[in-house]
Amino acid sequence: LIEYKTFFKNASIIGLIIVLIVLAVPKIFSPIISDKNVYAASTIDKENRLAKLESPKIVIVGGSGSAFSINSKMIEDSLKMPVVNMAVSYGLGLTYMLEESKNGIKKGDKILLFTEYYLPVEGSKKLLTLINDLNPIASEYFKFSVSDWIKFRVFDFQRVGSSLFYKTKNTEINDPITLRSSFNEYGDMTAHLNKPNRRPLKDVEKLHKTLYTKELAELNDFVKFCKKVGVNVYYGFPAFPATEYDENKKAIKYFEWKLKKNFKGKILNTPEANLYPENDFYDTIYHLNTEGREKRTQYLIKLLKPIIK
Amino acid sequence: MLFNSLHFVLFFLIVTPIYFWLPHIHRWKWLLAASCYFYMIFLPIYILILGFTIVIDYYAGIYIEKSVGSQRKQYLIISLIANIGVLAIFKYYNFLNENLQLFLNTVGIDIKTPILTILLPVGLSFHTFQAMSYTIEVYRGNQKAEKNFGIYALYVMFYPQLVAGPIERPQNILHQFYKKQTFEYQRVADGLKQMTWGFFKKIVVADRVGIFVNAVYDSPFQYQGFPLIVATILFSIQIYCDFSGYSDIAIGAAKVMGFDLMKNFDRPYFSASISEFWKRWHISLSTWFRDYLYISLGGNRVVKWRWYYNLFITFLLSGLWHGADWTYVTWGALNGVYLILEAFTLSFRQKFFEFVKLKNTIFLRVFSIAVTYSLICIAWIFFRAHDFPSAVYILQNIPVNLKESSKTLLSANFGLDLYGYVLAILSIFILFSVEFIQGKYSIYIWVKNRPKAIRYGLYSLLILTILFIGSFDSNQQFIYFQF
Repeated sequence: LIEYKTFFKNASIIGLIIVLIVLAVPKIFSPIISDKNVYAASTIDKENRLAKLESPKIVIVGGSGSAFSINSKMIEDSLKMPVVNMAVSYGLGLTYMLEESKNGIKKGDKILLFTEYYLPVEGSKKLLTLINDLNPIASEYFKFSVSDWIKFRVFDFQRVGSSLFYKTKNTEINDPITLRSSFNEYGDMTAHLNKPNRRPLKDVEKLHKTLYTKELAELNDFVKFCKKVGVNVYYGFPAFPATEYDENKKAIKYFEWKLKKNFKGKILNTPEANLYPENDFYDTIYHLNTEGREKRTQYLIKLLKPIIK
Repeated sequence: MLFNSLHFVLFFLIVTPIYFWLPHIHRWKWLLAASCYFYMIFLPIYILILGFTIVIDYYAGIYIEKSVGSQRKQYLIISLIANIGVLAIFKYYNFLNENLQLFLNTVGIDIKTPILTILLPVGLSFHTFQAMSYTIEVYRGNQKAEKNFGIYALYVMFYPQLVAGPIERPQNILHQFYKKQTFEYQRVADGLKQMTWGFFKKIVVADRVGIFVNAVYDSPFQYQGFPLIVATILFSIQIYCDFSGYSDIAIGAAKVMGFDLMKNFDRPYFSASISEFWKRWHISLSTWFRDYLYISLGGNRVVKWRWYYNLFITFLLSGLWHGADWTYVTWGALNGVYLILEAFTLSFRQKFFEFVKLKNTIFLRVFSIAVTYSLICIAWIFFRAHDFPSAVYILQNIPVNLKESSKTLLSANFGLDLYGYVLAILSIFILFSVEFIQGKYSIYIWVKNRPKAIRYGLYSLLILTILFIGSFDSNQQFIYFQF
């Protein structure tokens, strides 16, 4: 019993010291770690536009594929309806994306859901920690468990390291596609436009069949909410390289089948209608370059015209 | 349940104090219940498969002990069939089916056999092998049959080593469940230290370098030269840290509760020959194959060709144990070929190094370590590649376009930013420095002899390092769980 007590006392001392350091260090270095210009902060601008726009409006929801691959101004001008592109990254998770959109939609709005084939319900804890710090209302958009709180504190602690590293080296993480200022007023990423394609193309990996149970439940809850408000929800498949299609056909068709069978909103198109030459992609299998973005936007305008009428 | 999850931390913090608080006679029940919970977190229904083999092996053990003559062998065979049968259905059925169909199609017979769409129970190969070692040891007379069904179930299901080993022998672990464990400060502290070092290996090293490895190995056809070389080297580090990290956590967690599990890794990348490597890598599996297959085939006490054959078959099956895929079979076969060549050229190499006056020199040791490591890395390509064509592509393209590809290494995005690369290099440096020093002096003993303040400072520093530079967002499972 004496050994037990001594151990408990010593372990508590070490534990307490560690907890204090993990909590105190981010506070001490907070001026260094708060970077208002990282891309995650663009959610603030997008949310502001969403709240400001008159209804009816078009709200684009999705991952980075939609941020890179759509010209919202062109859609707005063609369809004479205001557009806001809420897409930032699939890493935010479906829950975050959908909850965030719920906040600003009104009767008559049209939601366009353009997710990637990989659509996690829960987002990356690291990204959500960052957003939570930058965006005061972000915590309303995702489920916050005790373990998340612990992870957030650890990620805050870790950010001190990376921020100090880049400050010491006197370099920012200067890839423009990672900056808040690279999104235009509509919410589209524009930093990659007219830039040479980056190769090798990233995220080229075989898609796997998953059950999509949680994902579809999340999507259908959202559709149910929107129906109550008087908002229509449309699902569109993401832009995808034609060269990668055959390799992933089984998983993609399975996803399409699951969606057709279970999704309570309307499905706009087919995966095959969204295949583009590899040359139309900028850096990943979901990010279109200038030419690809132009083609896709024109295609979407054609697709949306009957709906908007 | 994953060791590198908050869920496990909470589980461990609840299970361990209650274990010590309970009277000795009830402790095994508590550990068994905790182990069931631990396993059922993955997929609850699969506990029935585990239950099936546990019941068969428990009774097989008792009947083997009771019987005489050929009946003993019959009971052993029943037990082996039950265990191998479960493995065959869940792990190898689709592989055999696929290859049989391919063969039949080649000879012009078109028969469609059904494909099983079921998930492989986690850690199946580990607990099946542990269960088989029990009935074999009872049959050999090295172990008395366990009469307490619960204790036998705990032998198979003991949570620290249930899903990824070390694969224990009954002589080492069964008697420990009867021993009254007391709370010993030093042993508990040692166990926690080993667990912390395991977490460092997994979270700081394996999961970070794994980001680069995945980026390249998930789409190898996009790369040539350096990215393939770096990814292969990093995979060798990832798999070592992932698996030995798991073993450290398992051994440490068991040690905290008073149990000694067998050592599973002994700084394998410092091996100067392939045979030495296999004495230091996944020791519990290597010795399993040695004790129950290699020696049964005759080991090295046979004519030379038969010895080579025994080596080859043992490693071929070891490859198949890892996974039902030709990549794993090739990996095993390649290691078998290495060992045969090593044995075949031994006397020639010894004479040559004596002639050039290099025998027993540090240069030869370092050179041998480098050659061994390179051969092991070549074999890892087959282990990690998604399929056989990818592995062949990687092998063929490693020496291609080296100058140009070195630029890709710096410009392309492999999932790590500059800070990520710095952390990866730093953590690998820390890992191998510690291992190098461990080869000469025991760091555990050195730390133990420091003043209390320094000791506590070092423990806190290690934990803070894990928290500060650990890769917590990658959600990477332990690689060996799939086996």
